[in-house]
Amino acid sequence: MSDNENWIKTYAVSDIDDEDVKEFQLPNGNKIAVYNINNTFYATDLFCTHEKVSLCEGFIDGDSIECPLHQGVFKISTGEVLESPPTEGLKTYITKIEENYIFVNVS
Amino acid sequence: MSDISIIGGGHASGKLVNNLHKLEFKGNINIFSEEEHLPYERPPLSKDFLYGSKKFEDFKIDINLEKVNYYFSTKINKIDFINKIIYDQNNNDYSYDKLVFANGSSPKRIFEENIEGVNYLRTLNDSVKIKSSIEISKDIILLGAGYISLEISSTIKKNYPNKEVTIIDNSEKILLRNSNDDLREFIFKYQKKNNVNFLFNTSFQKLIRNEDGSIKSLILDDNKILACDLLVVGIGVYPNTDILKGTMLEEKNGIKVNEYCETAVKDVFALGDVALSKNNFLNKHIREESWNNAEKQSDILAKNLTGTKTAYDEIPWFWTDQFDQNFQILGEINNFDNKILRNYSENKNTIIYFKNKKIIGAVAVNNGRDISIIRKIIKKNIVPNMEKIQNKDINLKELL
Ligand SMILES: Cc1cc2nc3c(=O)[nH]c(=O)nc-3n(C[C@H](O)[C@H](O)[C@H](O)COP(=O)(O)OP(=O)(O)OC[C@H]3O[C@@H](n4cnc5c(N)ncnc54)[C@H](O)[C@@H]3O)c2cc1C
Ligand code: FES
Repeated sequence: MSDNENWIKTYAVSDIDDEDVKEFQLPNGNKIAVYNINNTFYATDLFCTHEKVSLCEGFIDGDSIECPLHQGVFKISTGEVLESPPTEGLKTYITKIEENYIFVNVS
Repeated sequence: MSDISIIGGGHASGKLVNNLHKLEFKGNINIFSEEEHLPYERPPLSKDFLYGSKKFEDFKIDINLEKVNYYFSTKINKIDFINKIIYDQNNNDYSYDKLVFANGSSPKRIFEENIEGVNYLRTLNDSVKIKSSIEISKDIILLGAGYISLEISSTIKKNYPNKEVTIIDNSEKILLRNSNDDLREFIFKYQKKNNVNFLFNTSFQKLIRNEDGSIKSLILDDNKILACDLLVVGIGVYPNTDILKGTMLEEKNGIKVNEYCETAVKDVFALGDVALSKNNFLNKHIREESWNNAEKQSDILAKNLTGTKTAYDEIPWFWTDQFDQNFQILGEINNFDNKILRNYSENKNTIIYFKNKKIIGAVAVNNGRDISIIRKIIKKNIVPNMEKIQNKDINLKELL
């Protein structure tokens, strides 16, 4: 895969409000969550690592996302578990902004 | 540094050990566990593990066994607080510096003795046994309409919609404890929709057996006969305080502790289901019997045992997962003077309870996000704007 193909165009910057998160489906079928935290954009896997529930239904508090099911907390920028029940961190993706679009690197 | 001895090898114990290691506790840790397994979290036993979609590895609590003295299959039977010695079932004695009770609770029994075919669900072994029985049973009866039975019925019906599942309770409704009518209505709706049968205001007077000794049917109080090839009893739990009989710490409804998990006896602590803990939010002592309580008290006690005095200040919180729906209860949901329903859709609701204009609790169906926000509102002592709360299109986050 060339480097260009690794960058997937997701939402326009204006599509996601500050302190909000949106679900996005990658070409390989995997689903991710794209976040706007203070106009910095992050991407992680969509599902909590504890059970298969979408983190887009969760609560964003600063740089962390609280899972809606059992309130496990992950750090959005690194994916690390801040509060159990999950024990496994979330996969994170590098992002960049080009022409007002959020690109996610899937390499 | 003093050594720490822990009675019980369940959720609270396992997490306490890991938290002590995280805080670089350098003394010896001795764990005495009646079970032969490593500690584990119990919620999956009635849900994903019983269903088959989770394995033990997914919810066991990993402990570094090289850093602890783990006594598996060891039941502590006697405690001598004066000489600081505990005794196991074989009368082996172990002295302690600091003693922690993390020995949980046990299912209330309908018969004193163990009777073949009458099942209870508390341990991994119980869940394995019930799972294999479900596969070969047709008519399943769950005695007691509490959380455990409602979760088991949900798990069975998801796997085997054609099996007959009947819940019997001697009261007139489900979830007599830790609940309210709003939550009962939500949960009952999903149970009925999924064809779980209910019989209220009755119990059984007799078990009828087949020639091989297995259960054939139950005779109910009104003499009605109900076919039954699997019986699971879930009529509540009691704290494991029997080992304290005759000691200076004898307690009936759990071992009384303050917000630091300290008992009235020096160097003796308790946490989790066995503890009757001071809850600062409710301003009374309660036994919480929840995942969150075991989890958070293990954090608090580890801090207190390593010299950072920290008080437990959690708002009681409990969840139950049934028929792919998540129900959450936060705080006080009974002694309210006002309530507001935020109805987002058929399967997504939050009810917020107030007293003197302040939020005291909430029930949410598939809406953990609201619970997260409401917990913050309560903790920050915010008097919320009622108009905003009444308008479900306004994100509750605006109240923070
Ligand atoms: C089937 C099931 C489903 C649940 N689902 C939920 C849920 O969805 N949400 C929720 O919030 N909570 C749930 N809970 C409750 C939660 O699991 C408990 O509150 C939690 O396990 C309490 O932890 P604990 O460590 O205090 O006790 P336990 O986990 O019960 O551990 C106590 C341990 O001590 C051992 N022990 C007892 N006496 C002795 C002795 N004398 N010597 C040595 N060892 C001893 C026991 O064998 C046990 O291993 C559920 C519980 C069960 C059983
Ligand atoms: S599913 Fe996310 S914490 Fe349980």
